[in-house]
Amino acid sequence: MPDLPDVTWSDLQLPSLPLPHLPAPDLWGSPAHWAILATLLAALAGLGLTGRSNRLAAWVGVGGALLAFLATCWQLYTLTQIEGARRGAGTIGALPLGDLDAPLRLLVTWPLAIVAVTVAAVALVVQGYARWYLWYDPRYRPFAATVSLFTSAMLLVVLSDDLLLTLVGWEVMGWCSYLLVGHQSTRSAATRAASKALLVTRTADVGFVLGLLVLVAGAGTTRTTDVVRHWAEAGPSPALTAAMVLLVVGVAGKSALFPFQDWLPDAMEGPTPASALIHAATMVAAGTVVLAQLFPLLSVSGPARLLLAVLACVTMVGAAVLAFAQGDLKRLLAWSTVSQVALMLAVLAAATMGTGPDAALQHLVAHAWFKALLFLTTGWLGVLVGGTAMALMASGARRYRVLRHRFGWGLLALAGVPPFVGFFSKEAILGTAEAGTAATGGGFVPVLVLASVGATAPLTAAYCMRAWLVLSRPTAAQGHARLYEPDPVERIDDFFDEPQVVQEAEGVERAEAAISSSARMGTSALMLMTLFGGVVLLLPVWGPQAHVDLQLMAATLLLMVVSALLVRLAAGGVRTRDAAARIPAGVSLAAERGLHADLAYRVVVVTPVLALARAVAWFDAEVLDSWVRGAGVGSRLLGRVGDLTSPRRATPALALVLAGMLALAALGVVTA
Amino acid sequence: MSGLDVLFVAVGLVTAGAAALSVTSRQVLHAALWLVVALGGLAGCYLVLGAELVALVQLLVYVGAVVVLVLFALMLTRAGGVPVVTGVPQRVAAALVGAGTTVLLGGALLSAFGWGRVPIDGGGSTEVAATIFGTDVWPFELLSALLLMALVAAVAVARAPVGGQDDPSQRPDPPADVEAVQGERP
Amino acid sequence: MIRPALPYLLAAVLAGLGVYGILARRHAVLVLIGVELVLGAAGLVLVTVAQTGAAGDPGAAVLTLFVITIAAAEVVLALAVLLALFRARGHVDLHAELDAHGEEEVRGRA
Repeated sequence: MPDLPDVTWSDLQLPSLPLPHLPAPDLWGSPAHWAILATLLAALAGLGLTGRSNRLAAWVGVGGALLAFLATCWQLYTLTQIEGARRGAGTIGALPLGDLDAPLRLLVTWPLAIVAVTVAAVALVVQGYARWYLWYDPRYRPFAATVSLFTSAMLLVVLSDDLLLTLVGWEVMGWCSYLLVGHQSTRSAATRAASKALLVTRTADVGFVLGLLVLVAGAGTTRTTDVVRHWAEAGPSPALTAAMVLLVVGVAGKSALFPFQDWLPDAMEGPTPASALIHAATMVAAGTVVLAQLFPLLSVSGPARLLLAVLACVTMVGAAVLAFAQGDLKRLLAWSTVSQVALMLAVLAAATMGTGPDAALQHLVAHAWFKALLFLTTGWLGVLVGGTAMALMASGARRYRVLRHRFGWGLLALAGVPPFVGFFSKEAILGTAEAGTAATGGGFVPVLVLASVGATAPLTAAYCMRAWLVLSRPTAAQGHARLYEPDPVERIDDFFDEPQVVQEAEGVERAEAAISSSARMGTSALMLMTLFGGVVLLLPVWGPQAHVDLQLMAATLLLMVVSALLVRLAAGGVRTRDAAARIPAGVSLAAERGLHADLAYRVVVVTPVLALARAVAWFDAEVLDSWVRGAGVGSRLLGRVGDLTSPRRATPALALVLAGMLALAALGVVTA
Repeated sequence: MSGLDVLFVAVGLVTAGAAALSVTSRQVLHAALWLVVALGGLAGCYLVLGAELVALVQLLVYVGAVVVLVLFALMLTRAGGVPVVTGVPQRVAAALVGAGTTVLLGGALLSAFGWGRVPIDGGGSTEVAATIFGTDVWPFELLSALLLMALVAAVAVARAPVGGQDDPSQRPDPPADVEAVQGERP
Repeated sequence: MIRPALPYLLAAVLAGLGVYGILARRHAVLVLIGVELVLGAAGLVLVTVAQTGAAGDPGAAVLTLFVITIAAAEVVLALAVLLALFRARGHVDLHAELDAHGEEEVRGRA
């Protein structure tokens, strides 16, 4: 083995350039306030003010997202002008909670500011895309408002410096995901998936809320900075460990880690823009953001790290394997999201205070770009071919050449091929995990994470290769397709005009297939970020980084190439070029159903809970109620006895009354 | 025993005897007349105790007005052969309760006031009048209002239609019906 | 000088006889006679207290006058009610059997 040069991440980073001092208008609040409030107001206005006009709702939704995007960009600039690059935003008024201090502050640091820009950018693209995708949907207006609210909640979580605000954003996101997944509420599968998402995440949220409560109660304040300082000074303690374990459980629910993983693929029942939003930048990534904010506490509580590492590693590898076997492109992407989010969380478990949590956030940003691109492109192709099943999608990238680069670059980034953005973030993760291994002298957690990341990389490459092979299959009907579709994709030039002209000329189906210019522009922007986003990851604003092990990098790339070649070989003899067709049908079916996680949920959770509920209901009806019923029966019996024994004539009754009075008087005289 | 004691015992025995007869007599009219004697005896007791004004009022109001009303009521509600006393068990129970009342009340009063002698030292009519028209003038005026209201209410109750509705068919006492019912009884 | 025990004893006897009359009679007017006896007993106690008390307070005698007046009003109303009862039922027998709802059972009339 030749001796490879020692490269550190800071060698790769771009030089720090001085920026000119721009005149800043003196506005109310801070950019963080503006970003959150703009989307929140857009949500309210979208519900209350737009009346019946889809066009107005689209303006409001896109406008809110655009304002948020501009505000977060401005926030980036203001950070460069501040010493220490930490900007606290003023409070909107502290909550009077007695002894508990709840200042409700916001805080911006460099990594979180970049995450906020990413969130706002993805939300903007999704809003524009949704306007086209749901053009004929009668419930487009609530959808746009919900997306705005969702964005607002995610920005709140990212920029919050108060655990109370974090909790608010967290729960609002859970509720919005329910609304978005169940958007097509007339389909039973959609409502079932929405209920499942809500129930599973809400169950895990119990741990999240309890964990936050322990942290806040111990510190006496809800301000995140103070909470972290308090517990970090106090050092490791059983209370801190319990709180962090509970938090990890809550994060596992929201981020679809192992025992909770099944809700996320089912959430594919939602419209594609909603899937892109949930998967790319917001909900599943929220756990990463919260744990990164609380990273100093996580790094000192060993059991929580161990739990997080085990759950994340199991999920990472298992979801990558399952993704390979899916028969539906959207579900493949969903499982890949599960795997990639687990990757972010695993690196949080492996990182030390020396490396910091920035690698997870870097991967979050990178993942947001390429996953949003892949989802939106899949939805686009799904509209064109009428479904997202692999069989329908086959040859899609060949028939519609405009989609070719979008799919290709997205999949390359997902697999982590240089120079796409996924490569840089994956290297950061590998470097962080390796640094963790070195720092702890080969501790279990970093080694497990390193091994899992190493195993996941070729698996990811394998399912990306499989998807690409299917998508780019040369089709026998290509000439046929060219006959009636010389210009494959129509375009609606003016986004905010109803497509009547196109409808009259081509019919409704062609009009639906034609994509709007803004949606196309959004995906193009995402595509560019997928290719050049590595620049963002190399900005000198990210925290301390580990060495880049060129040996490890080369080995990983080699493994990826080998697995991709194996997939190509396996796909060779199959008519659809689908390597997953080699998998036995039973296994494939089980994988599509998430390895029967539903059955496991039913056996492990639902059946005992139902049994307990029936037992309680029985106890209530037969034991507790019997006392009540017995009281009724007893009173009726007593009444009947009284009815039978009471005199029917006035004079004996009077005699009894007077005798009773006499007895009372005698009692009074005797005892006086 | 002083002369007053003897006098009171004599009047008291008359009163108690008349009262006993008025509650045991089987003749309705006799019972009412014995009540006259008993109330008159009570007025005598008041005289012996030196309360002339109260005795006079007792005579006027009770013997003069109340008993007359009772006699009228007796005549207006002729029972027509319905027995006026209850059965033996009821009477035994009544006697027990009555005796119990006597024993309790007498015992309580005797134990409270003792057996000793005291001088009769009541206020004269002057003091009574001063109290009525001085200290207690407002209750006295209220009493006059009460009497007026009782008069009006008595007329209203006695003349009210049966069952609260003035429907002749609802009245149980059309003359023919009442006659028939009373005629059937022995 | 008098023994106040004598009027008190008479009052107790009158009250007992009145209670007996109330309970042993089934004709409503005769029941009313028993009530009058009880009221008389109460008046006797009041007069005795007034005449043999230490203070010589005329309050008790005045109270007796009030009781007599109120008793008169009560008798007037009671007799009016009895008349109404008689018009409704044709008798004033308090020993008549009532059904579970307090209504008189109709016997021999229907």
